[in-house]
Amino acid sequence: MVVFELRLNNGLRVVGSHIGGSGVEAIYMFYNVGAKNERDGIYGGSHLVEHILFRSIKGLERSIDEIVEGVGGYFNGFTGFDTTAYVEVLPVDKAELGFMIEANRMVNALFLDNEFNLERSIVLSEFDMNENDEEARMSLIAARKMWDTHPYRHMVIGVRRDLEGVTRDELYRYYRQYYHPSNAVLVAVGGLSEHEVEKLAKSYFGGLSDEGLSGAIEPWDEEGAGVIRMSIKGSTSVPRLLTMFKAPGLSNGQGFRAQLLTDFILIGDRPLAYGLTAAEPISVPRFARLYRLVEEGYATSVSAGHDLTLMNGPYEVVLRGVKDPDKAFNRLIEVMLDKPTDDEVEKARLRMRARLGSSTDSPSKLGQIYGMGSVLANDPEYLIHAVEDAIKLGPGDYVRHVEELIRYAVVVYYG
Amino acid sequence: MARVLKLTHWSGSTVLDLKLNLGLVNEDVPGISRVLISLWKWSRGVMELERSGASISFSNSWDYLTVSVKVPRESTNVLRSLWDALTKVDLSMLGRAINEASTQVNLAREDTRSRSMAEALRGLMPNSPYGNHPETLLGVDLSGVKPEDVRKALDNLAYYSITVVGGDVEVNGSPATGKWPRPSTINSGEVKVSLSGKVQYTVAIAYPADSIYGKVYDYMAFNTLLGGMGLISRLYTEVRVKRGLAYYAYSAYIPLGGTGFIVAMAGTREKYVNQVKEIMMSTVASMREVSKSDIELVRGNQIGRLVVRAESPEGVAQMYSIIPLYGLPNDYYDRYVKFLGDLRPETIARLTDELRSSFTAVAGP
Repeated sequence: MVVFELRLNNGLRVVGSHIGGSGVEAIYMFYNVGAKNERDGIYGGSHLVEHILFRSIKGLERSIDEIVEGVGGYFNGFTGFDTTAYVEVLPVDKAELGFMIEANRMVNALFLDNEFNLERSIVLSEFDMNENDEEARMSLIAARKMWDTHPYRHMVIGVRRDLEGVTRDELYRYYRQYYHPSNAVLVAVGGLSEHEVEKLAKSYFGGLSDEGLSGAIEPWDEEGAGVIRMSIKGSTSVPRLLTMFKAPGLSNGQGFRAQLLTDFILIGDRPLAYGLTAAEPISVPRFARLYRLVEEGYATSVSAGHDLTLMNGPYEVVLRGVKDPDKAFNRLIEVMLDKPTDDEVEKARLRMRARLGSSTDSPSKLGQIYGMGSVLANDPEYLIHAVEDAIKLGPGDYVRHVEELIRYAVVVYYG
Repeated sequence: MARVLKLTHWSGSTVLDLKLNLGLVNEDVPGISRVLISLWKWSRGVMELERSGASISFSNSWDYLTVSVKVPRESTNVLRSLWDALTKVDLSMLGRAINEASTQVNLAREDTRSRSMAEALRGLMPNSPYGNHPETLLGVDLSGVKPEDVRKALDNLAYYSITVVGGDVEVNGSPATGKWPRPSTINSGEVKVSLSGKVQYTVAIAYPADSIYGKVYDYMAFNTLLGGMGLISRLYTEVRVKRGLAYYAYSAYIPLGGTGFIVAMAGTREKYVNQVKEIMMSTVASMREVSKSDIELVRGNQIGRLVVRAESPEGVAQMYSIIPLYGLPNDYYDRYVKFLGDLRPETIARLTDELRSSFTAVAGP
């Protein structure tokens, strides 16, 4: 896939690919703002802003929902630790709507009082929904132990007290600070040609002025070592053990590549992007290393994963159906530390090659990859290159990485 | 009628969608398909395919069990061994498979969303396999599955349909013809289920609807306006957008071989449960009033959605696999587009009167 890039005079970066046979265009707007930019009193604010930006916007005659759903498109917003992204997946002959929506969303959101209060209630309901999920609750508890002052400690949903207390004006200021052309990346992937994307980008965004802050921050972390153990009492038929480690983010290129190899050794897969319009077949092969814990009876099922982050972020291993949490944790560490055989590494390489293909076979997946790479690593193809590099790593790289990974862990038992 | 459908896609991936004769309605032993899914994952054959770079997922449903496989197009030859991988399993893994499947089922039973939907379906169709839920399997104890049950299921294993997107794949195995039993009883009522450690309730209301062989286009259009069109559908607008009572509020129409149903769902706090329930019911009743602009929205949404869902090979496979599965005409979606072109407000409005029965389930703390 040939990637094209251009930058408008106001600083907006435009990235895309033309896909000959595609009848669809995925249009994303990535902003360099997320949980990493939040502070006391406004934790969860990036996500609340995302919600409000689906409400009234000057310049749009109808709601965003109505515009996109009215032509059968898919739309959504995603707030992460480091970025906030908006997407429209549209029939290619309606692609212009996506440019129009994003240009207005960048500068014209109204933050009406009644809509702000309604969205606050809705986000609090989302907070409740997360609390209904025991594993989400365990993650939140673990992250708050893993970090003391780092912004990743509250996860993206934030802090209930802040969500209840933040004012409309505070959040509006936050929006005006970070939503402007030079703090954003427009991604367009699909049936539109490079020329068509450039023309639409200039037409809709070229006249916007650029005032505000950069969301870029210097990566940092807090030191930590050892194992912190916690327990939550609950009435469940499936006792669970969540172990949180710190996985390197994209700002640590070498560490991130070693983490990718580790993902494929430990659990057999690591999607780079998610299909937005259809669920993708995803394998969690039972030959993956962590399934030894199931084979040996320490758990009845297992999963592991981490979000793409700029800095060291949470990497979680969840064991379900755990009878003895201490023994299960000790065995987990032993299993992780084992040097991989050549056969294990070869299997991981084959699956990484297949993953590259299956993460780049739709406009909406490619758009995520280009957007995250552009914002967090200044390279739209960063994730693709990282997987290609990880394929070249060997057993020694894995062991060195895991030895570092297990230096610090927070373990939460629910049962 | 078992059929094979092959379609193209611009990408370098091939997706195979296989529908097997192992749905809730045709299991000899309840829950056997759920156990088989775990057993397959632990089988050497499936792991060999995964080792070659294939991604394989399994999901059971009311009428069938789906095996969905994605491979790089240059590696489609590895799929020649798929049928062997499915029929030759290591029964010494049965205990492990039962434990894994039981864990997933127990997690679903403790989840307010899947539990409330399951309870609503059970209340609506109490004497039918359609009245259970493939994830929660209410009343089923998987520990009772025996090796001979697995052997029998594998001896009888056959496919209803094969859909291939972006490549040419041959799959061995025998075709089968689906038999879909109609539910004998439809009930109305309400049930409340308490689950430990929760802070939020899910309200689920289930209504009977036509099967895939009935007025399916009418119901698809109806559901689009009721709660299937994202943020502009009526449920979403009434519960979330106007009142901020819930993060999620939607409906789904699930057309199957022997029946169909619409399920409306919303998640909310205890103090709003009754209000949300009333709004959901009155929103369904409001479907008696449909305007021309509503029809325009539904038309635009559904025609455009056919294009957008085809952006990925798995999207094409999921959309088109129902054609060979249920023996529908190859121009099924062209006919839908024509139907939408002719759609009138009264077509949707009159379906409201057919939703006379409903069963409500509330699951929460």
